[in-house]
Amino acid sequence: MLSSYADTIPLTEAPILLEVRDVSVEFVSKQKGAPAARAVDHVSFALREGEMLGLVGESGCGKTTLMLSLMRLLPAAGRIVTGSIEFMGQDLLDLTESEMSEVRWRNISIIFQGAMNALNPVRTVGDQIAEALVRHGMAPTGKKSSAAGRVGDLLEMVGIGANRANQYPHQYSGGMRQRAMIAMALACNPQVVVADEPTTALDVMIQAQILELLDELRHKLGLSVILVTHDLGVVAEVCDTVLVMYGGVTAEYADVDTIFNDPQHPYTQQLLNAFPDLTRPTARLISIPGAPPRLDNLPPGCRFAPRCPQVFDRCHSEPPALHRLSDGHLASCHLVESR
Amino acid sequence: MTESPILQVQNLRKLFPAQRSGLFRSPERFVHAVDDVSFDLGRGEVLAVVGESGCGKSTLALTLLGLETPSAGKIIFEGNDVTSVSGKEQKALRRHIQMIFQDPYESLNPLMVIGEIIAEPLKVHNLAPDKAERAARVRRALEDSGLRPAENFVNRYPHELSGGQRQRVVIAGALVLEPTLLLADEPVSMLDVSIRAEILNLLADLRANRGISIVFITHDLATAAHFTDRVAVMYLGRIVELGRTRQVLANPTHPYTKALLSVIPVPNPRQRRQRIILEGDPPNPIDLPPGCRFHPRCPIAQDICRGEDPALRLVAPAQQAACLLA
Amino acid sequence: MTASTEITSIRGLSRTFSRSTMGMIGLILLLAAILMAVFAPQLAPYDPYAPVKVTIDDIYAPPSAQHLLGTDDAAKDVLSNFMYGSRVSLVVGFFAAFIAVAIGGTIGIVAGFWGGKMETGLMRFTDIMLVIPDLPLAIVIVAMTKPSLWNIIFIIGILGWTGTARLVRSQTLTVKERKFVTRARAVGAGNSYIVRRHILPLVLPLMVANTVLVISLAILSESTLAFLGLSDPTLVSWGQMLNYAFTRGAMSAGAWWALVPPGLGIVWVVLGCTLLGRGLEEVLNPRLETHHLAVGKRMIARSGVRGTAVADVETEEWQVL
Repeated sequence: MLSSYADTIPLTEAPILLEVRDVSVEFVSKQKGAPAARAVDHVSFALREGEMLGLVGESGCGKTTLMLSLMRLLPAAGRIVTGSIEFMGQDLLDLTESEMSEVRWRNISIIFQGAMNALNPVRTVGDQIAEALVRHGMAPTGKKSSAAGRVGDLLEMVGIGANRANQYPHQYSGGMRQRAMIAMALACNPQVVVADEPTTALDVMIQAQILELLDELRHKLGLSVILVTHDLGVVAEVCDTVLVMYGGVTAEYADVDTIFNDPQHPYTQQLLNAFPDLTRPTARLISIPGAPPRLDNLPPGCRFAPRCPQVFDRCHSEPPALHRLSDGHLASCHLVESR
Repeated sequence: MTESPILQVQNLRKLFPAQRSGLFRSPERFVHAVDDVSFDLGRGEVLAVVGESGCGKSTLALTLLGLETPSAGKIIFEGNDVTSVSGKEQKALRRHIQMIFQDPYESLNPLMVIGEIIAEPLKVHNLAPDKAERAARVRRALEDSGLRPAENFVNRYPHELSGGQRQRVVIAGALVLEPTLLLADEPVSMLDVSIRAEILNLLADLRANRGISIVFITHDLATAAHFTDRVAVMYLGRIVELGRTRQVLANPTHPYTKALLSVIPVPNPRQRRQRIILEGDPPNPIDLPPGCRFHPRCPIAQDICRGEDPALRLVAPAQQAACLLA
Repeated sequence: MTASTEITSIRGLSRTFSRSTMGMIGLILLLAAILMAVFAPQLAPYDPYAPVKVTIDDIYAPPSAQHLLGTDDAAKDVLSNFMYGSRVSLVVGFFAAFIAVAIGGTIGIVAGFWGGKMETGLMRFTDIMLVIPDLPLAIVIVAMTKPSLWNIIFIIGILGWTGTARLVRSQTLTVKERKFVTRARAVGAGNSYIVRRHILPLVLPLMVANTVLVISLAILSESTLAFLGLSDPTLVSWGQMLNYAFTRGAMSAGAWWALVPPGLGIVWVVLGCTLLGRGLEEVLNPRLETHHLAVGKRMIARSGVRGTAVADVETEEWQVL
């Protein structure tokens, strides 16, 4: 089958569905007296209708924490300390827990990483999807049996086939389990889907199948998708806009073409150099020395300063502000200030 | 290549019983993990073995290392048949062939400090019994792997190091024996992108400085593209295409290689390619399809593909493919 | 980037253990018993092994200033008997548990590590030993041999290893599959080296925790045997105190003080061991083992919840989370 997805242009005219403003998240330490670790620091982004946003970063950059805050699913030690998360004009942080649980799944749903563990091994896939439908009042009579038709439709939609609803997760291959997870996330017709590393640990061919499915569903259902990933190639293939995070802060935020062809933040530039590009094989990849910072031991100035090739004095003492380079292109680096 | 190859693999086969053998019955069905694989590896050469999970690439590595006994075929290392050596010879062989594992979080014993971990191979082989000499070799291996100064690392536990540093420790543990052949099983797939490049460059340096031959096992053709000389693409236990890396990437001939290449994400949104997405999953390696094992998923399969099992044959200078239509 | 500190080291174990209240209570109970046993000669008001002149008033004499817990059927001081009796219980408990864990540990590691026919054979044997009722067998063997202290220790030891063997085997199977074992093999290490350097250190903490539980079982077995009259007649033990009290009319004489102290003593030590063992086990539960890169320590602890429970997440866990 030949295909070419993501030949769409960013839907910049579409209305904004979800707007995250200045969100910071802290984790309280169990040890007394230890300062709270700030996992996410004043991050903002907007998600338009039908748009796919790529959230890119390395381990510990706060991307998972940011997505969990969006769903208000932070672990007990985590607190959203600043900012707002507006979904269709409503600040999600103002909702009560029961209102929020209505929003989850019906408006914003999440595809978890590791489909292998996320499905209950002793119950059929169809049963698990039906349960989600019943739980959120999507079954006509409130009984699982009445949801069978919808379960079948959902499975067909993700390319599994309604006849496999009665099978158990272990009878599915890795790719099919991930498809089942997508079906589950789509059960209640959400407007926004957060996909947390949906293709990590899958083979490239299966990854391509899943990405194509996501892209197809997005166009068919008008979904907005946030794709959390560390794989720049995947982002380039399917996303419209990209938020690059480093050490809990926004490094750069722009549309996909700008990020890949006119990156301004040294981290984005280095990350692109470090990423192997099949179309331009060279003998050596450019590596970024050092390791990402730990949340409990952040550098005082710019968080990327210890690894930055263009570092200068000011970087070590003063954290850079988020500068606006042009409409829809933000970067937090002292170097872009003058531009 | 005038020199004799360091490693020759001839018709190597590794089958696993598909069900547990009972007391009174022996298994009748087998998983064909590695099925008739042959290749040569030159001195100082880096060969990439690429394929999806379950294609047999990891089993191939374990068989080359001697941790799995081959069911058939020959492994010739430095001109000697080492296919089924055991005991002392096997142990001696380990000094020359070393392996780097995928998961740097799992492949280090959490209860041992880095110094002990690196010294372990020396201890096992009773090399450098002198304490000072052993410490010197440990230090050299650490520094050669980019962990400088070595003193800062010898007394630390694995959990105190970052992922990239741990993978360097794993590499140092392999280097300390000064092997001539290194098997690297997905050495970077668990690491962050910014750290991957460092490890790949380290491996490239080892080849350049020490002339170590490397078999680089990966699922990622893009990573393989960067420093390997040749690439072997595996599908269901068999090599379907083998040739110079640049040449294969520029001019893939096997439809599986073509598909694999087309779906690898390219970090450039302006570059749009036709993607060949194969449907479904690879069939299980127990009941292999008749004829060409790729034909059920092959976009260009024809009738003859169902009847005849193609062998590797030359399709271009220094490029072989196992396809009847190539 | 912090990976979770492995709980498999003894040091990590003690650190985490100090947070377990139940475990600490158990430890204190057990330590108190050990102190009492060690210093029995100093603490006990009388020597239970010294001959006493018996008058009728001294038999089953109620608690008094002279005999804080009264006297028994032989006019001996119950408190002193109780203190000395703890020695036998603890000695039998510790030594028998040591034998049991040594046998069980060896069988478990051998079966788990070597696998194949060896494993099948050893585990069949373990299963057979597991279903044979221990107590009747122990009674038969003790009755056939001399009920000396060491005989009893030995018999309890060789009958009580099955649980340990199964536990150690499963842990060995887990450790064996870990990559650093494969790596050691790749380096050229032999089986005995791998067991010594890689398997044993990771199985050991679990064995320590298990030993504590086995001690409590051994103490119970010893008490039961002694209560049934199968104990070294020359040594005072709690089980034997109960046996004498029962068979020599303490019940009809209303001499509760001859019965209650040894009974409570057994409960005390067994409870202490059980609490301590459970506390240790809780600490050793391998659920904390993870190596996901993405987030900090506390999130790792939660990622299990997230990973395993999406189905539940949809039903109950949304609220809980």
